[in-house]
Amino acid sequence: MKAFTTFIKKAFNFMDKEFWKYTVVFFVLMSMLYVYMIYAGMFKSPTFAYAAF
Amino acid sequence: MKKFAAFLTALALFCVCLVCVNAIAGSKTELTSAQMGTWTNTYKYTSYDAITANLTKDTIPVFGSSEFNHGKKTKCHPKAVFRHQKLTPMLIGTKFSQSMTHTIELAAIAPKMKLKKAVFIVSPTWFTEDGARPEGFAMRFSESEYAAMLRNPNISNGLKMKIAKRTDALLRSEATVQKCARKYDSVYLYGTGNAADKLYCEARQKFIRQRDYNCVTSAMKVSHIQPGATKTVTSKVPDWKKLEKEGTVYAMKKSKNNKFFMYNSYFNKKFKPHMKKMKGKDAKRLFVKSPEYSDLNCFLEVCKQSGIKPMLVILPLNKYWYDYTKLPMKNRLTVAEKVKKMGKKYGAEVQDLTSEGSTKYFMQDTVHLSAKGWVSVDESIYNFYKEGI
Repeated sequence: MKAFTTFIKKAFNFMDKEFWKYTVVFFVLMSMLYVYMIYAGMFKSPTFAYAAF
Repeated sequence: MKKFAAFLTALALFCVCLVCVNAIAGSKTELTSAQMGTWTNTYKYTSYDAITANLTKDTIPVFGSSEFNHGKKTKCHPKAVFRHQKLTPMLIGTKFSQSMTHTIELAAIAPKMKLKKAVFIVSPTWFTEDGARPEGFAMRFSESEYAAMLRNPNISNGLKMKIAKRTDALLRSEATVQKCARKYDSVYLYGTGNAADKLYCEARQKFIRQRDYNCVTSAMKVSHIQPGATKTVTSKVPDWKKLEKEGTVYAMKKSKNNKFFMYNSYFNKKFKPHMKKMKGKDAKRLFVKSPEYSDLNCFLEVCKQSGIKPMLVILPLNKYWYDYTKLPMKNRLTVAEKVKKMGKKYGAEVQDLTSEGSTKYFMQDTVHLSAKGWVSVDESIYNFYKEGI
């Protein structure tokens, strides 16, 4: 029980303001990349065309 | 260390969010709509879920190409003709959609088809010496449909390998997509993929289908396609004679400034500026050898193995224009002759419209149907649907 309490305490100490700041930044970047990948297909346009005839 | 731990935490949070979003938004109900069948949209064509969610016992997939985008505002386009009919054609295809694209699409959706009939609108101009262009094929390639094709238990491995080989060759211009297709082949076809490959394919399929879903639902909003919309059905048979008359009047009004009976707008924009260089240009054009024939054969083989009755509609070429470009008459008939032979071999119904190339106002340009031309195709589709019902 004591070991568990110590672990929790250490974990909480580790998760300081800086840790959460980076977590949020990484999360936002991942989400943005995902959204971009999902919608990028919608903006694809033909890069060539057949001859008109 | 702290940054790495933060990255892992963010990744874990992101994965949890993704699973939740998939569980909430992954429902196919938003993709079901009576308007979906005749909706012409590229995102619909490449979304396995959007198509399969709308296959009822009265739906016939109609595979074609750019002609679906022509005449949409007329009373003769399938969109208008079948609006209140029990039959709903599921239009699939746009510019650059050719036989191999449709083979994959049909092989993907076949197990979900309740009515085992399919219509294929064949354009003679596809049958060039090089066949489908890799850039065009890559543009219309759908990963969700390709994976579904490979997973279709009714298609033999031999045919799947033939399709996979051809797909690989046609995807040479898109290395990333080609790599993905190869991975699907190794997992779903050859069974050579390892556990990591399997996991990758499953995860990628989830992502692709979510991407397709988002694209289709967004496009539906833009095009005012209402999810869950139903249609009021009439038992009246369309008045084909009246429609043809209306189509002719419409086409006549639109085609007044040229001797090729093309719509003025198309003639002015696409043809008039090139008249000089086009004269006699097709004198040596041949349609005898083309990989497109083999691709079409794959389509018919998929029909056979899936128990689907196909109907091939062979589109005409504008006689007046191709007289001008001096395309020899016997060369114009090559595609129809070869396709009819293939159709016969597979027991397909063939609607050969080649002779209509000389019918005035049947085409709106060189290869696309006018309003009048659409009526013939609509009637063929309708009669094909009615057979055996």
